[in-house]
Amino acid sequence: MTGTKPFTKSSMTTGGMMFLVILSLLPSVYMGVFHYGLHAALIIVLSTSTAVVCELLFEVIFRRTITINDYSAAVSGLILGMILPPNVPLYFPVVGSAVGILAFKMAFGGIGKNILNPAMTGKLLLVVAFRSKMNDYSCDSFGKQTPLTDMVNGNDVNLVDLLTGNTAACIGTGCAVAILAGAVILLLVGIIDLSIPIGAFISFTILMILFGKNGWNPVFFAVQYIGGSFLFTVFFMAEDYSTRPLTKKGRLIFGLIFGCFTAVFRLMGYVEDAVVFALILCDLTVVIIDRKLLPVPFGLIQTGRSARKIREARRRRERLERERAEEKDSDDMVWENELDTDVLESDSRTPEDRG
Amino acid sequence: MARGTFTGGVHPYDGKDLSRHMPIKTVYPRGIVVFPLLQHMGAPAIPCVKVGDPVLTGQMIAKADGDFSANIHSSVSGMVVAIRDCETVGEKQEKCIVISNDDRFSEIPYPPVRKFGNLTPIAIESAVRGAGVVGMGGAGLPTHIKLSYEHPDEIDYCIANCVECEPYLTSDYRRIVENPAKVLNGLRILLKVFPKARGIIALDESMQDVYSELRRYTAGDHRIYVKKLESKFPQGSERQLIYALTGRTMNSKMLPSDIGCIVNNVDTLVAVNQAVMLYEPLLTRLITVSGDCIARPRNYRVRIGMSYAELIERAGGFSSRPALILDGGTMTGKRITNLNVPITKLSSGIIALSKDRAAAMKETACSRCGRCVESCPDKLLPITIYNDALKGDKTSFIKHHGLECCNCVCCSYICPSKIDLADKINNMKREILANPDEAGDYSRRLSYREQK
Repeated sequence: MTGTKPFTKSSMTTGGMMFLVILSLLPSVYMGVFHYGLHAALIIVLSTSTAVVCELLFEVIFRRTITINDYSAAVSGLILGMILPPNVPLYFPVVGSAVGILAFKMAFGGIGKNILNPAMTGKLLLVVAFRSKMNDYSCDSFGKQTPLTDMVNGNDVNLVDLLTGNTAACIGTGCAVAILAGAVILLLVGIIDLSIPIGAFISFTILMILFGKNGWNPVFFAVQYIGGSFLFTVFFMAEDYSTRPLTKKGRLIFGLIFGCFTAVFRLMGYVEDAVVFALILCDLTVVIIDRKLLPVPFGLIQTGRSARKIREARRRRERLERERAEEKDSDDMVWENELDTDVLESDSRTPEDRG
Repeated sequence: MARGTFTGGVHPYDGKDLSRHMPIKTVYPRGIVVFPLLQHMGAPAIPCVKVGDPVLTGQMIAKADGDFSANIHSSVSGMVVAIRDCETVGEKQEKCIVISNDDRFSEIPYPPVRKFGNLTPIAIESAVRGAGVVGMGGAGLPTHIKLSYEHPDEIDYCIANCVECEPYLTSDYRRIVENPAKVLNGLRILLKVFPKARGIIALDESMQDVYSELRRYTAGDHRIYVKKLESKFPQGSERQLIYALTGRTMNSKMLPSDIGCIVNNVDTLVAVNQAVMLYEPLLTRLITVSGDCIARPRNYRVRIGMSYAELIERAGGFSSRPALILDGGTMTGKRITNLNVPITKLSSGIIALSKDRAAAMKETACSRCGRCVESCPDKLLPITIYNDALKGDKTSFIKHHGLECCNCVCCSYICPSKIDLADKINNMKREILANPDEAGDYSRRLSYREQK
């Protein structure tokens, strides 16, 4: 029983939001499993369940409140599974998930307190430890290299395959259509907004035009946006609540920094891993952005300008009143006649329906 | 100029359809009537009757203690039986005058009605002061303080607040539907005090019917404007209302008169009209009785001093057992545990709900989703301020502008983790303001806010 206002609260809960995130990720999961088969599905299941089990174990051992019912661990695990190549050994998702959740989420104090994205740190660890294995995308009929690497090496790329995900890529990040569908769901239910994507696309595009050696070439940009998990990272991973700035302006800056870092890493030659390094570095800037970028409270600054505006409005109105007074002599009694008797009726003295 | 709304805010379930279509009904108290001496912001009034004195309806029973106080009048005729401590809303004990009602409602003699043309600002102010009119939007600032602003020429806008953003309450709407002429006349009386001001009647966008009617009434009057504002909480809060209507902003250190505005609730304007034209003191209040546990939700014209229990009984009682009874709406109301408390000048509604939604929701860890930041109408970082308050860190609380918070509770409403941000922030604010050295410029406005 709470004694304090408000006595009504919105029906949205943390668990509800995370559940919607999982729903919006499902199209990409489906396309990944559709293209890469059962092994991919097994990777996703293993990484998700490891994340949940690790969080549960940690909380049981250290006697914390059980928080797996807010689905945030499931989201982290699911996302980690989706950014792994489709043919990695099955201990990869287990190790990545466990390290991401235990060392980078729970050790910092759980949801909302971690400064690094747990899924991305899991992948970073795997990339650092098993560089060649993590860059091998061969699976079924698909080649070893992703379209982005192909293009960087000077080969031709099929754009339609890139949209439908019929190419070599990480499990969940190949199909641009499914990712955009998920992003639209999240935008419509208000879980993410466009400030991070706008910032990221602006700075990434500008840097790529300047230094990408391909000018305005639309095919080049389509592959740069969709390939290498850029789209997926911008809409799903950079928008992770714990590791993004609080204000809209801060998020725009965060997006700009992320786009810059990604472009720089891609130009340096880290093709597929650019977003991993870029996101981890960006997460480190969030603390500074949040501390330095305080919004100005409503009406706190009463500038000379606003005072002048008030003075001007006053003068304008006085002129208007004078003009009106010249036109017709204002008469207070005019409306008094047109009012009904209501004005002069008692509000509290009518004992009509007493009883 | 007119923006129509503000940034931030929330859209709680408003439940206004329960009571908005029913006409106002008058109920009269029977038996004992209780008048707390503090029914306004400021100092409690001083009783000017003794135990055993006979009183008439409309007779002054307590006199204002200084300028920052208001007179209290008996709303019934009868005899003073006691002056003692009684329980009032919010489980507080306050000194009250208890009058036994003789059920005859014999009135004091009233002078003949005033002529509008002969009114002077001084006459208006003294009439309002004598009638004990207070701001009925919730804060309860005595209205004569607003009227006695030292530079009446500097007031540009005189705003009649009929936005009523608080869920469930419909008394302002019923008031302006049933007595538009009284509201307009009250506004015109205020415009006499402020010769260079324009009057604005601010309506909610859902009040389309009233809007067109008022536009017709005010067609010939170039000093009065009618404006519609977006339905959003807290649109009726002073700062947000002024911003939406005029584009002027104010912070917690300022009063509306600093930026040339005076805001009055429509119910206050009616009381001003009654006081000035008819010499009638403030004796009744419109109370919304609503909620899903009330058998017949509607608005009642109630004598001040009647108890909530009696009002509910006369309104048809409960249809089912309520889990939550509130004085005021669901956003800024107070929980009532004992229904035998008197209705005061500040009561606005009684809401009985079958479900205590907020209590059923468990607090979880903050996920930093930033919804509180987006919903904050003051553009603060509620979660940062909340963390400062948790740590008890006064320096960074002030640095993060925690004192600017207007306590609109939007952050607590919207939080997906169900954290009571507003409560904690408000406690911290009160703690800092208790010490004038730390409060600095803020003490001017907030010090009397706290006496609510």
